[in-house]
Amino acid sequence: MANDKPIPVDQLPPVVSALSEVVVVEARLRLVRWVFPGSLVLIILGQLKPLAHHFFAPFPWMASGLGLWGCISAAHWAFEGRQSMTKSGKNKWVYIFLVVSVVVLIVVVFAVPNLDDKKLAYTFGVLFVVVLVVVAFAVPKPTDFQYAVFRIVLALAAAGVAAMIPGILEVSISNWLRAGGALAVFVIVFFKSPAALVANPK
Amino acid sequence: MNKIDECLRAFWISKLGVDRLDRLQGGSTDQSPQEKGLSIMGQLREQPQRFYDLMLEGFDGYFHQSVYARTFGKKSMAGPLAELPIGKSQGDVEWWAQFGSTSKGRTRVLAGARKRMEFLSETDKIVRHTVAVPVLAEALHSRLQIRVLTVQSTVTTWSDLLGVRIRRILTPVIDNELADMLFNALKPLSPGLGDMHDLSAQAVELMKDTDRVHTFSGTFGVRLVGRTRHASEGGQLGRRRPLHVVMPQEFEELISAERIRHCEIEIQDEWNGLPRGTAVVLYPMEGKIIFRRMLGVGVINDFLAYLAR
Amino acid sequence: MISWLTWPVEWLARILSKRRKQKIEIALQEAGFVDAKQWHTLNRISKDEASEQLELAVTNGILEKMFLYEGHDSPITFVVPETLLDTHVLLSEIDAFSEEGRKLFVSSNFTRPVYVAPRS
Repeated sequence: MANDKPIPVDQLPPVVSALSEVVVVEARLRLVRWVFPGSLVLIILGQLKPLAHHFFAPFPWMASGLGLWGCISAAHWAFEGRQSMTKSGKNKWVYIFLVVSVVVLIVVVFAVPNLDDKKLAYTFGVLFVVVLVVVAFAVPKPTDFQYAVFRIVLALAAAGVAAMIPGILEVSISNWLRAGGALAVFVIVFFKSPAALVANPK
Repeated sequence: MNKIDECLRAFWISKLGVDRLDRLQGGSTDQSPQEKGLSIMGQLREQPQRFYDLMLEGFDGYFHQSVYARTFGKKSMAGPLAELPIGKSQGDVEWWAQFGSTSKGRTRVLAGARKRMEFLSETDKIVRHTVAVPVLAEALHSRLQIRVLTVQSTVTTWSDLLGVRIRRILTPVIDNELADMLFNALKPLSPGLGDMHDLSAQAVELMKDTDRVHTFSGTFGVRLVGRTRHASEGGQLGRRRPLHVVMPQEFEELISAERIRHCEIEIQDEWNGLPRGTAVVLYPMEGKIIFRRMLGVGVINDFLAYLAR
Repeated sequence: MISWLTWPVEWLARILSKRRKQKIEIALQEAGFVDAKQWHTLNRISKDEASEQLELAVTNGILEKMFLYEGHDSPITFVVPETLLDTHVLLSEIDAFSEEGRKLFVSSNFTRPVYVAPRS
């Protein structure tokens, strides 16, 4: 092969410009981890009607639009770097999360115009449950803070899912709390911490 | 074992030095080192393991030798080395004997690297013989060290060894080549043989101790684009003077470098097992150390352990 | 592909990596190659991460992997592709003209991997 020759190092071109590209690729992969979830949050915020009243009328469109743009951009670069992401330990779970979220997002985007509030809550509930299942494998030994966050999110997600489940559930805790329906599910999941896990002993 | 191989083994034994040979014989004699070696081989005929013990002793303190150091990170070669089939061969390397214990993370295997040598006799005929040069592989925790006996010999020596008048040695014995043979023989044991242990930092530390170590030449890398060499030449009575005396500015440059390609040092005061007068050449970036002059017994292992920190 | 759709992450990545790029330019200047140890020091990441990043850059075609011969028997420093490991090279081929005719055995045991800009 023409390129199979030894090369004195003084004849090598400077490697700095190629390394700059390596740095940008690494920055992209790191950003993907933050931009995608951040964009999802923007989309969710854009769907919350009370916020539109709080800010200004075009807020939902702008937030959802920006969020969608961010998601597509992040998903594109995650796909471009899929070889890198699936080989790297911690990035592998981020990649799985992204793929699952994109699929759910596409379903949600098409289904949202036809959903009422209950179905919307259910859809996001399912989404977050799936996310937490992935996170459970990616973070097998969460810190106390991480566990507290997971508890809140799981409780919200369970409440969302329960919104679509028929039946009556009522919960009372002492004389300071009474809840029914989806809220009751939230209270049970949050306060009773199902599947108690052993956090890292400190 | 044929006569030539017995002569060769006596030759290796003779490299232990006159003092050690006299102690082994139980007294000083007028014989040449090769004759002393032959006499000792005669005593060892019934005890082959004793020859291997003497070789190990030689590597530990008497032989002029080249040492190649490699690092393994978290892995260790002690286990794989301990499982080598002693008495068998792998390619051109015969596994002679094993020493040490894997429970202490240290295993040493003595081997013979077979090199086909060619000589031109006085009658212009090509004489060929396969010579087994002693080499040692040692695994110490996360390090692998290969030691190769330095073979410097004259036409007269080879004539005596082969029993044929030799005019020229056609095949030089190069330490890198023998080390390569041993590395390649060890490759089946482990997916990788680690990395060359860069001893630049240790070399700089050594050179900085100008009370106990004199540096006569050094080559260092200039960023990643070149190299510079500083060497002192002869002083009074043809004796070289150290760099820190004759060119202090250049010496400062050398000891400020991150990558040392080569340095030649001499021990001035007993230091980490090496006696005064020991001459060592280091090729730090390759992880190679050559013991050029060993005056009597030196405890090389202490020095190597210091370098491997 | 940097289209208007994928622009946000790309733009942010280039902004955020500007400082790191400047630091690398100052450290490496005209250097023709980099190794995992230098990359680990420059970026303050673990050695394993540094190796992984460089290997992935090779997979993505951003860098090319070569092997730097460290033996002291060579008068000049040179790199070889993997196909030339454990073969003989003519020193005159690497511009060591004073060593005309001398061959050098480039043993894989005395080389280490380095990463260079891809040759076109």
